[in-house]
Amino acid sequence: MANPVWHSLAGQHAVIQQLSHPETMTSPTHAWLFTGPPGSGRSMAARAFAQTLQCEQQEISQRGCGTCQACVTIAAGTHADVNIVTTEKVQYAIDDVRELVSDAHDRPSTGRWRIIIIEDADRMTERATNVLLKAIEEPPERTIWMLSAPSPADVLVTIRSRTRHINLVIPAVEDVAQLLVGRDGIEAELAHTCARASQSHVGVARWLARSPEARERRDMIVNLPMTVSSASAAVESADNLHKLVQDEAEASSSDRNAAERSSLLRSLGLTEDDTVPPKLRVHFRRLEDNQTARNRRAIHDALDRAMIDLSGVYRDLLVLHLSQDTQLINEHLRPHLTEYSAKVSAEHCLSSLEAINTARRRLAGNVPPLLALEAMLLAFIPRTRRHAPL
Amino acid sequence: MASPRRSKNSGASWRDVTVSPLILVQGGEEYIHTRVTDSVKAQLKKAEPDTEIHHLSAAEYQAGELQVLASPSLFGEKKLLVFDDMHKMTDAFVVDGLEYIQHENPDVTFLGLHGGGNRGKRLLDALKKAGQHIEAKPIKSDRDRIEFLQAEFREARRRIDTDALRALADAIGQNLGELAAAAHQLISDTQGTITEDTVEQYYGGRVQATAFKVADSALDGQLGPATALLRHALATGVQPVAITASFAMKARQVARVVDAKLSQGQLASALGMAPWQAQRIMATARNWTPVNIAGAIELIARADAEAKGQARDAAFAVERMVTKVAGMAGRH
Ligand SMILES: [Zn+2]
Repeated sequence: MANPVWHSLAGQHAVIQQLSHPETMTSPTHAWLFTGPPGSGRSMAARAFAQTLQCEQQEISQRGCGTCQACVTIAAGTHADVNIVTTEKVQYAIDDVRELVSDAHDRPSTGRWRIIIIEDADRMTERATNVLLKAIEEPPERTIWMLSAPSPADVLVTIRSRTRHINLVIPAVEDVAQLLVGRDGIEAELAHTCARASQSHVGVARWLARSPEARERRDMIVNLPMTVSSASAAVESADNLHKLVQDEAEASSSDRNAAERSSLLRSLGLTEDDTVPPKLRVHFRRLEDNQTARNRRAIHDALDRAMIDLSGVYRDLLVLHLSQDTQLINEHLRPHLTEYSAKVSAEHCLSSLEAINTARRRLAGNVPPLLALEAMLLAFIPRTRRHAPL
Repeated sequence: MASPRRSKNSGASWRDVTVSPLILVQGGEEYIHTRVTDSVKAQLKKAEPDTEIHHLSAAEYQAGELQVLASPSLFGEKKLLVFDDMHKMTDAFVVDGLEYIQHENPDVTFLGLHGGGNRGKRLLDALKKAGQHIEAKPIKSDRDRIEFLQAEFREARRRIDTDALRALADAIGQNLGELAAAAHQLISDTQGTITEDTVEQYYGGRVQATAFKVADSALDGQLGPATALLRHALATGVQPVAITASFAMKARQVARVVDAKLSQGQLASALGMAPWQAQRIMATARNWTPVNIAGAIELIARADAEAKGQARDAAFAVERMVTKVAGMAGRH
C-alpha cells in the first residue's frame, strides 16, 4: 500500500512505485516532466512527489505521510520552498517565467529542496521556454523543477531531453470508482456510473457524482443523437446546446467576477455607488478583459466536454454492434442505446464520430460554436429515404 | 419634480419610471436595471440633491436591515434604497420586505432589482400590487431591438429613417448597452434626420446588409446574381467571414422551417422576427429539402473555417461555397 499522499491518484501504480523508490527520494533528478491525459492526475502526481521529497518523517519509507507540517502546507499550496505555478491565461508571459527562474536560485528555507512545479507547461511560448531551459541546464544544487503537460509532444524537444519523463496512464474505471468511494464518500453504484461516464477523468467523475444537475445536463447531451431526427430539430437542439454551455460557463464565473470587481473597487478606495474616475478605468478594463478571456475558456472547456460525451455515445453504439457483453461508457443508458443501435448502421456511427472531430477542429479554428454544432448535429440524423445521403 | 406618489401601474415601460415609494424591476436584462436605477437616482437628486443613497444586495441581506435603513429620520431627508440581486434574496429579506410594505416610509424610495425567476414570489406579488412593476425581459428579437433603438431616438427627439434603424441594429448586434451607446453617439455627433448613409458612415451597417443580399440570392437559387453580388461585396471590402456569417444565419432560419410544421406566426415568434420576415423565410424554404439544407450548412461551416485561416485563399473558399449553395437551392 502506497503512503497517504498517493491515495488520491487513481490507477497509477507504476508511477507511484517509480517515484517512491528510495533512491529517487534520496538523490532525485533535478528536472521532471509529468505527462498524462486530462484528468489522469499529472498535477496531483507532481504535488504528491513534492510531498514525499519534503516530508518530515525520518524513515524514508514513511515519507509522504500526509500529516506533517510539510505535507500539509504543500497540499494547501503554502509551503515556503514549493512554488506551484499555474495559469488561467492561454499562455505564460515571458516575465512570469523570468520571475520563476530568479526564485529558483533561492536556497530552501526549511525543506530539503526548493521545488518549482509548473502546471500546463504546454502553454509556454517558445521564447519563455528558452528562458526556462537555461535555468534547467544550470540548476542550483538543491532546486528541483517539475513540469506537467498533456503529452511529451506538447513541450519543446529541448525540454524533453533535459527532463526525466513520468507518464501517467488513463486509469481503469474501477480505480476511479474506488477513489470516489474511498476519498469522497460516494455511493458505489453512482461512483461506477460516473467513473465510466467520465471516461476515467477523475475530476469530471467527481463533479458528476456530486452534482445531480451536472448529470442531468450530461444526459441531455448524450441523448441528442437519439432525439435529433429532423433538420429543424437539429438546429433547434444546436441552439439549446449552445445556450446550455454558455449558462454553465456563466454560472461558474459570475459570482467570481462580481467578487473580483468588488475587491478591485475596495482596493481603489471606491464604493459600488461611485463613478469610476477616468484615470482608474484602465484597471477595470483590464479586469474585464481577463474575465472575458476566462469566460471564453470556460465555454471552450464545456464545449469540449460535450464533444467527448457525444463521442462516447457513438463509441457505445459501435460496441453494441459488435457484442452485447462489453461494458459501455453510458452503461446507465444501455436499454436506450441498444434500441437505437438497431436503427443505425456502424457506418453511420463512424461518420458521426468523424463529424464530432470535424466540429472540434472547427471550434479550435474559431468557427462560431453555433454553426459548428449545427453542422455536427445535422450529420447525426440517420439517412432515411426522406433524408437520403448527399 | 412630482412628490412621491403611489401608482398601481403594472408592467410599465422602464422608460416611464417615476419616483414612488415602491419600485420593482424584474427580469434578466441588466442594462434595464442600470437605466432604471440611473433614472430614479437622477430624479431624486434633481428634487433633493442631498438624497441619501444605499446600494445593497438582497442576497446578503440580514434580518432587520431594511427597517433600520428605512426608519424615518429626524429632518425627513429623502433616501433611496437600491436592493440588487433580489432573485437571490435571503428569507429574511422576504419577511422584512412584506412587513415594510405594510408600513412604508414616504420619504424612502425602495427600488428592488430582480434578475428573473420566482424567488421571493410572495414579496414580488405584494410589491407588484402596492407599487410600480417594471419588466426587464431580455431583449432578443430583431423587432424588439429596433423598437428599443426607436425609443432611444424618440427620447432624444431625433428622427431616424426606418432603413437606418435596421442597418444600425444589424451593425451593432445583440447587446443593449452597445445599441444604446451607438444611438447616443449618432444623436450627439449628427444633426437632422439620421439616414442609412449616416449609419453606414459611422458603423459600416451596409457591410452586413451587402453580405445578407448575397445570402438571400444564393439561398433563393439565383446563381448569377449571387456570384455578381459576392464579387461586388468582396471588391468593396466586405470580409469573407461576414459572408459566411450571413449565410449561416439565413441557412439556420431555413433549416428551422424546412421540415417543421410551423405557421408563419409561430415561426415569427420562434425566431423573434417580424411577420414579413417570416414570410420571406418560408418562401426561401420552398427551394430546400431537409437533406439539402443540411448539406448547405456543412458547406458554410467548412467555408467559415477555411476563411479563418485553414485555406490560403479565403475569397476563393467563399466563392466556391456560394456557387455550391446556390446550385443546391431548388434541387428537389
Ligand atoms: Zn509528511
